Amino acid sequence: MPVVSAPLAAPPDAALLDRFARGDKSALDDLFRRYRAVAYRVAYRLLGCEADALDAVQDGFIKALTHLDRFRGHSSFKTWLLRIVSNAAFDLGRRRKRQGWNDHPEPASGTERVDLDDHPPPDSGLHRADLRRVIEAALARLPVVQRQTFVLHVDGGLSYREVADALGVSIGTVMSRLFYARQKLKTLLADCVLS
Amino acid sequence: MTSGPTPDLPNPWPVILAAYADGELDPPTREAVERWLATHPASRRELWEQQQLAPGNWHLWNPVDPPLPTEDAWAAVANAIAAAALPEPSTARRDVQPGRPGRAGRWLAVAMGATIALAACILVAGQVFVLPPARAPVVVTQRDDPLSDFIVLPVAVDDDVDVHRVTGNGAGWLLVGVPPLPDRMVLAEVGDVDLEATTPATTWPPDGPPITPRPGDAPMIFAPNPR
Repeated sequence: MPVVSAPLAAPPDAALLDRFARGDKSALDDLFRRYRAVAYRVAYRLLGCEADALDAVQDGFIKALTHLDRFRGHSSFKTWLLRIVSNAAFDLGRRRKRQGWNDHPEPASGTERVDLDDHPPPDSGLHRADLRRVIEAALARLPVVQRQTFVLHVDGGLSYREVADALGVSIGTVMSRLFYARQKLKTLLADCVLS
Repeated sequence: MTSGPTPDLPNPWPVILAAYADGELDPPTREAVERWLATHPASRRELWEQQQLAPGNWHLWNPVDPPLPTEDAWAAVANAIAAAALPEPSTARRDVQPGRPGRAGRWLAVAMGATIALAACILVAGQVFVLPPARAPVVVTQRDDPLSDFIVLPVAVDDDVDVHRVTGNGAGWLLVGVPPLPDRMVLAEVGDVDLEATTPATTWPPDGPPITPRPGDAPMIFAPNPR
């Protein structure tokens, strides 16, 4: 008779956090594996660089886990973590900028579209990396609050309610920021992505 | 932001199309939007543009997923997190009944109590025999300072701030300098502030420039308390 083993249910975040608080490293490993990818996606989209994104993920996890007393449980751990990671990404970006780094150069005043001089024409088919670079450049031109809201929703996979909880704003504000962020992105990406 | 074009459509229109594109509306609101879209092609175009950039558009977002780090890179990050954040099992698992300290704890409590009592004695003696009367907080006011009617939390004075540069590209000005404090005193974080628009200051500083947020800049808030 074939033996069929049912998959084990993943432990809830609360159980992992409780075990982590008692010094259980395996619980930390589980939490990290569970959220590392989404945290990295958010940080990468805000920073545009793998090494910086990993730094932001590391900073965010450390801040979140060393300040668990501030996590009230009003939102999910994922929501809380992504807020901290995105803020860590902005902090890191600001420090890099002060040190002379500039991965996302500011557009010249009046520029309305992503400069496509370095990119293939729209009908030639953009390579994956080119397309990513174009979208990152467009995202970098959004106001900070719109970019953070957009990235938490699209790359963080957070619902409007979760984004609102993460940023401490109303759902209406989330909706408004997403609408206007997309309007601006639509203009910036019209030539090369949207058709 | 405009009002809804008909009483049937909930406000705010057309911002609500973003929520429709993301499947975030409740059924009655979604149906109301669909009734409007059925007879208004221009609005359908607006919705299509929102849908193009919604997370549900896998054709756009899947190909632009960030490059994944190697397992070695993940392991390095995990180790750094564990080194910085993992509580010590020995201290974390120590079972100490509240109000029932161990032997060392009792001696520590006695020593702390004696220290506190000694400090209290010195403080009282100093107030009676040595120390001058406590000075009232000094509030510096200037006749032309529009903030003179407010008590200001003195985080730093002008000598403490080292302004490196004043930048401006026509859109606004931003002071950049070295923070005067050895560590950040966080009054509010980026996520706590919802800066939707900027308005040029009209009263202070005189003819002051507007402040324009830049990516990564933390907000600086002046929050005086009226006297």
